[in-house]
Amino acid sequence: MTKDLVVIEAYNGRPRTFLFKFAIFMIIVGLFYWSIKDLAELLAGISDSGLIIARNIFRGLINPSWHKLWSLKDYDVPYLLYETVMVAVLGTLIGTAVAIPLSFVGSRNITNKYIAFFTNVLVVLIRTMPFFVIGLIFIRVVGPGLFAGALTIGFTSTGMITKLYTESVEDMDKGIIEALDSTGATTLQKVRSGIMPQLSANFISHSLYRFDINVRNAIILGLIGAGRLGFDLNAAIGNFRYRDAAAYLWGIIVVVLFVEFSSGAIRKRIVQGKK
Amino acid sequence: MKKDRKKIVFFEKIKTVFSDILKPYVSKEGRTFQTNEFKVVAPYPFGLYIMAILVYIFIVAWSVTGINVGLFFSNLSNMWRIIGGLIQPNFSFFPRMIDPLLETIQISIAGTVVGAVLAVPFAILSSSNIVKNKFVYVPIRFLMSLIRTIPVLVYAAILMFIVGMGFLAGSIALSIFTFTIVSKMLYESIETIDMLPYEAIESTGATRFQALRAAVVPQVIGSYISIVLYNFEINIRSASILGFVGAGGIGILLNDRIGWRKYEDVGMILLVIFAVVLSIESLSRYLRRRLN
Repeated sequence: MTKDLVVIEAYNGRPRTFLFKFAIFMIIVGLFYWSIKDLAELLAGISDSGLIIARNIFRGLINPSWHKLWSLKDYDVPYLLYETVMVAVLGTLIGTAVAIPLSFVGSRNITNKYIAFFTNVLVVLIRTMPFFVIGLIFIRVVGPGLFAGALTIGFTSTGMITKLYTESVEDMDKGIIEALDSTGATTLQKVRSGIMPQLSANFISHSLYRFDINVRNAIILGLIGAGRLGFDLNAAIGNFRYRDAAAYLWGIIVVVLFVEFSSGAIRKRIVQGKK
Repeated sequence: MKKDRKKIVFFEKIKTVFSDILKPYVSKEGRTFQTNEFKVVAPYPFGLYIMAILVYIFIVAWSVTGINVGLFFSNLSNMWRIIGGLIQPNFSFFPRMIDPLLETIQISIAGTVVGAVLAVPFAILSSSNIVKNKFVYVPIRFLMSLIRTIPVLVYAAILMFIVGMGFLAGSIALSIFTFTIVSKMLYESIETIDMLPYEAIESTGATRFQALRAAVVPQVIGSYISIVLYNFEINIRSASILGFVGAGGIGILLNDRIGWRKYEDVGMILLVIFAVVLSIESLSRYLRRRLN
């Protein structure tokens, strides 16, 4: 009997947050209403041709144009995917190559505080610039094409890779380097056996993670002309070639899934150190 | 044919050079070190091979991409001019940005809310500890990962042909994206919860829905809100570039200004986007920290 009373007491004394929750809910609903208040008008604006396009794309996904998917010619899906992945590879390698020195310069435990701060501000600036803007700037510089795409991806990945690398470098155990110092190791030997074993696993893992993102970005960059896959996809829908468009979409799905899976598996193995 | 022969000779040469350099490191004798008491054999240097493969891939990628370093450096003055414009933002441009900026925020709110609400039933259906039937959750997860692979901007570009330019294409694209990401993150967090309360409540004769409401919801609501806020951060970034494919928001203005080579205006837009993204991110980080 007394036990039940305790339970009831505890239940009556429960935190009364109903009003607070209701207020938050109303705020979200209000914001949502503000966002979609023109929705009816917009929905009325969808023409029948749009629905036909949607239906045709779905039909295309079930039966894409197989000759586009399987042939190895210059303008077909496998080659375009190969190109896209290569752009991503090149961009990631450029980004990594720039990020390694930058991350050492940007770590507070290696360089002077002010230099590190300045480098980090630069990295934040690179990271916050939308990558389409960078893409269009590079198109202005070198003309449309894969080269602009590779430069864009290299530039944008530098920001994120440097940030991740800097975190690893700042976590580095400097005691090992001091220990090597006491044995009389040269600078090169210190780098080889003091720094590289500590950092290489994290560095490779971060680069692979960025590579995964870069493959998607390389596809998207095609939409503004810095790559061919996205451009061709857009052109295919624009010219009512829905089955070709679906072939490109299937290609994108397969490559992104493959890259995601393999980079995830490799990263897991590297970081956990299993052989 | 002649070229091929040349290539083969070239590779042979490289191989001999490399094997001369690498022999002392790769062979077992080369890797064995004698100390006073015992012998140490260093592990096989796989790193060298990985390095060589990377260099090869780099060369292939370089040739496929058609890199032209000369072109880049000869047109570098273009880039300095653009950067020069970007770093002197044109503050008088601000009034023209307000409407597109609000539209950007509207797109991301609409996309996040719709996607996050739609994600809930799918997250429950794809978590293996609630739906115990493998034939239900595996196909749903697979379908979700298929939808997730297509980048949000590709969705926006496709939707533009279906629903027309502007707000709707962008918000539908963002809600598809949010839907897939939130449902994935949510089912991962549902799978980590403590299932004992759920079973206890089910054993009292409650329906599965009641048990879900009483045992699962309180455990995941915090992480659900945090996931949604995190997605809102991502969406506001995506929404600012959706306009490049015509899907509404400030990207349209940005694309237009770049097209007209008004880099001072571009600088101003970037500055404002930066400020908005930063303030929304810090707000959402604050809220997420409060939740945890």
